[in-house]
Amino acid sequence: MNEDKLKDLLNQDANLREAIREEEMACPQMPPTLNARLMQRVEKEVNQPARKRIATIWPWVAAACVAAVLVIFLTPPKDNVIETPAGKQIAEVKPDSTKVEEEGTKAEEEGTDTPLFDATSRIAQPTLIAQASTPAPQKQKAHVAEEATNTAATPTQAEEIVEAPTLQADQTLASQDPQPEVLTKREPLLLSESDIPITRPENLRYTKEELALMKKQANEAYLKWMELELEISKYNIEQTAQK
Amino acid sequence: MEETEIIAGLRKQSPQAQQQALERYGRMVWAQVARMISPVEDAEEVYQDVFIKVFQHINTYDAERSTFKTWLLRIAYNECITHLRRKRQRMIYLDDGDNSYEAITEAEVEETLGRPNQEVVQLIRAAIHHLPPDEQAIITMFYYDEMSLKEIAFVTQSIPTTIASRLSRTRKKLCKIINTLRT
Repeated sequence: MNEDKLKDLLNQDANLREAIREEEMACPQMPPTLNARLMQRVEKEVNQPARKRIATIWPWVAAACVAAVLVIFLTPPKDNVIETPAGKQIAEVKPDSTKVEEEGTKAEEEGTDTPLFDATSRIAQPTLIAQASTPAPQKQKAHVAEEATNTAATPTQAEEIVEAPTLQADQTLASQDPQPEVLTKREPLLLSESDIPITRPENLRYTKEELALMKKQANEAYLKWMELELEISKYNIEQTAQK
Repeated sequence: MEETEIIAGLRKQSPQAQQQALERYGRMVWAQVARMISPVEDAEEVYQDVFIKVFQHINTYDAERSTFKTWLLRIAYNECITHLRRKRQRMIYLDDGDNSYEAITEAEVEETLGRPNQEVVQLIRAAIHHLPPDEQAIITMFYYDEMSLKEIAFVTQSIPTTIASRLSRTRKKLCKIINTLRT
């Protein structure tokens, strides 16, 4: 149907055109306040984009907060190492009624050939160290150090000394402590790094001295093994020579 | 203000240009919306949605493709269709699923629609209400607004040949409906 034929229809369909015209006249009129209300709505819509921009930022802020929380919770905890002016004293422990000297254990280490055992015992007994500044503990130090040097350099004896510190400490305190009031005071004990119990594998670290001792012992063991092998070979040679 | 000035002002979001656009084209858009949407409250809401969309998307208007009036009517037509779909108003029309109107001859159509008769006019008015809203809009744009097939095709997002065939089909439907109403 081309345009010309359609133009003819416009002229021919008079009834239809009249009907449509009457329908349009009967349609509801546009309310007079409609445009005013529309302009008010347009003004509100103009202000809304600024809010929308702010509203669109909030999801990103929330996502950033969630990511920060996840990072905080998922990062591995740091070692509880607090450096104080005293040096390696890193943690405070509620003092027990008895004290065993760090110097005593060190004296035991020097006197014995089993530093490894001392290290493990140190690990097992975290409450063995006292502050070195008080006078009564110093006297105790000397006494325990003497005991350490007097005792034999055997693991069992060292174990006894280390495992029964409370008993010895009690005895020493009872016998020689001139100032029991000082000891009974609840002074905060400071522990070194090596006294913290090893609860996580990554905290188990050997000190340089321990590593040196371990190397030394390994070398000595190797030398002993070589000597033994030489003796065995000498014996075998003698046996074959005799035959 | 001239149409080009109004369009330039709308691009700058000028309230004066917006007011001018409402005064010049408001009635035309209202007529398009009111003939497809009822009740009046819904028509008012759609009318406002149309102009808000016009003001927001004025930069998409291409003067080479269509006139500003046709572009406005296209937005109004699409908003009406969207509103009707949203409301899911499914009206049952007399010709639904029935293609018997194809048997009506062109002579019979011309006899019914052409010869001036006030009674027939009233019947045609009643028959128009039985047509779907999009067909009502098409015949109104053609017979009342005297728009060309190309313009109607742009408004309805169709092609002129489709509009021509739809017009022919709608005329036959009206005759069938009138015959049904007479009996």
